[in-house]
Amino acid sequence: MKKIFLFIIIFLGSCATPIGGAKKVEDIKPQETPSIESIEAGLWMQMNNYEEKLKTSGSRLKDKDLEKYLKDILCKLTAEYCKDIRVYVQNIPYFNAFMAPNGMMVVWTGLLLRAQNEAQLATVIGHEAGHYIKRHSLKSWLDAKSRTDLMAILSIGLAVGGIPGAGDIFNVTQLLQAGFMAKHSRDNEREADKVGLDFLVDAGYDPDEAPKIWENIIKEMELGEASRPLTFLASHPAPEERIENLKEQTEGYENIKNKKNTKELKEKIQPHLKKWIKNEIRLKNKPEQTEFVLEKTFEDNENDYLLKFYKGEIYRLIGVKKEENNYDKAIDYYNESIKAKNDFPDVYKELGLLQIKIEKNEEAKKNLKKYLELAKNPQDAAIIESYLN
Amino acid sequence: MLVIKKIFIISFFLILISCQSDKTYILVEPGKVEINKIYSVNTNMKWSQFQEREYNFLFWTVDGYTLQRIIFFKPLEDGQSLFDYDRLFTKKNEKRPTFNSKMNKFELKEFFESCIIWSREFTSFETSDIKNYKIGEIEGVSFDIKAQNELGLNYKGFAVAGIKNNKLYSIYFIATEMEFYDRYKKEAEKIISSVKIL
Repeated sequence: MKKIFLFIIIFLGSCATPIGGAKKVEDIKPQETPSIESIEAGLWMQMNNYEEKLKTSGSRLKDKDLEKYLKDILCKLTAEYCKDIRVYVQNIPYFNAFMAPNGMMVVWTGLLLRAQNEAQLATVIGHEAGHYIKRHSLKSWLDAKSRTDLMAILSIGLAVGGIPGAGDIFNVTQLLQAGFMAKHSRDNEREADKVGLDFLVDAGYDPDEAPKIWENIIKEMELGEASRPLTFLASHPAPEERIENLKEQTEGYENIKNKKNTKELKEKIQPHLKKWIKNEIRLKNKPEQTEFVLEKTFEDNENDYLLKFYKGEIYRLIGVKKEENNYDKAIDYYNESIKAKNDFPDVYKELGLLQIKIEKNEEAKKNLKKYLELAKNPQDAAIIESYLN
Repeated sequence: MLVIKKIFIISFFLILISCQSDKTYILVEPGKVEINKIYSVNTNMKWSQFQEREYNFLFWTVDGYTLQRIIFFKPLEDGQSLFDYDRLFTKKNEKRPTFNSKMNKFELKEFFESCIIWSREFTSFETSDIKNYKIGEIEGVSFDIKAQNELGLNYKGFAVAGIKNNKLYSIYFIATEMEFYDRYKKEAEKIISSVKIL
């Protein structure tokens, strides 16, 4: 009996031998592909399958111009690896981006909405490219295998399963399952930050923008539900730590330039902004959190009336909840929007419809008429008229 | 012999259990049809009706759910959502979209859109072209639907919705843009325009 027990222990011990032993994993070279018999080729194959599905998936934002813009940022950061990395945008309103070992980079629309300028976006793209170049997915895989620790493998599964997918309006969990290899160690994250920052500085972007995106995320977390980490943070180090690292690393550079390219980013996301904001509001996060996201989105924007209008939308959609009357707040914001710009039709429509709900019928009619006048024969005119009669 | 007898008895009970199901498939014949004593409609063709006790809707299809369907929802009351069934644990989630009988016509469209996104059936879902529409005697709205599933299959359809006695009545038709939308659109329109609330 003892012999059998000993055999089991030895057998289990043998499983803990790292695959590939202590062999150092070198950086991937430009245009390199793994040899067919390697573990890495297996990882690539899995990710190639995922990528094929992603290409036609309904969740992919099919905006070639935007994807090209992101790819161009990548190529500005690293011309060497430009051919090796494909960038896709997924229409998911959480702050997230991930890099697969085969060169598939995925950026979620929630990140694009939150990046205030191209420099901040380039920080994330450069960081993800760093994961690819340093082969972090392979390292994470070998590390988990080397420990043959069932708990470690399980924890990868749980980290994915635990990300706010179940019970959320957008199907995050399922989308992340194929991307589980995007979970990296702190050392790997730090290394990817360093690679990304080197790229950022070489490309002439302002490195002071790098920590700012994380500072905003911290603020957003504070305003939201603390028990509910944002998706990106569920598999990455705490943002406080990352900010410290980035600030520390930035001090070592000379000849820093300060390219931010705010306008360029805003122009590219403009066609999608309305839909992304709608999705952000749909998440039903704490209103203060959503307000903060919108304030950052419109910070460098002259369109203050839109900020006020969307803030009004947040509170209209919450409606009357327990003892809070959010309709009054919504009306205040709509009025502020009108004060900032008095010929934006949508605000009159929403204000008028809300006033009908709270039985301020005379004011409501005035505003709905104003909407019809400004919108000039809108498609929904007949519905509006049904409220006027 | 005793063992064979036992196996026979156990098999018999297993067959009985397998026969007991929450799912019901019914062949709908052309003519006037009553749906759960909620709606009455007229159809010119045969449909397969599927209903599961847990769901608050039933659907009609000819070639299969993923190819084309007309979904009839049971009336919703304040605080309920279109897909309030336990399998998705949505009932317990406070963030799910919920119906409010004070919703205006545009908010009905918004609510419907949010519920479909919540159901995760489509990864892309958009509504457009909202119009006044009468469901039976209810003053409601109709609007068009464009959707895409995770595999990238495109869908088109339309929905109607309206409030009566503080309850939301809604029906929608959706089919794959390729092949089935055009084939069944007119029939779906006829069926939905014949709806009477019972």
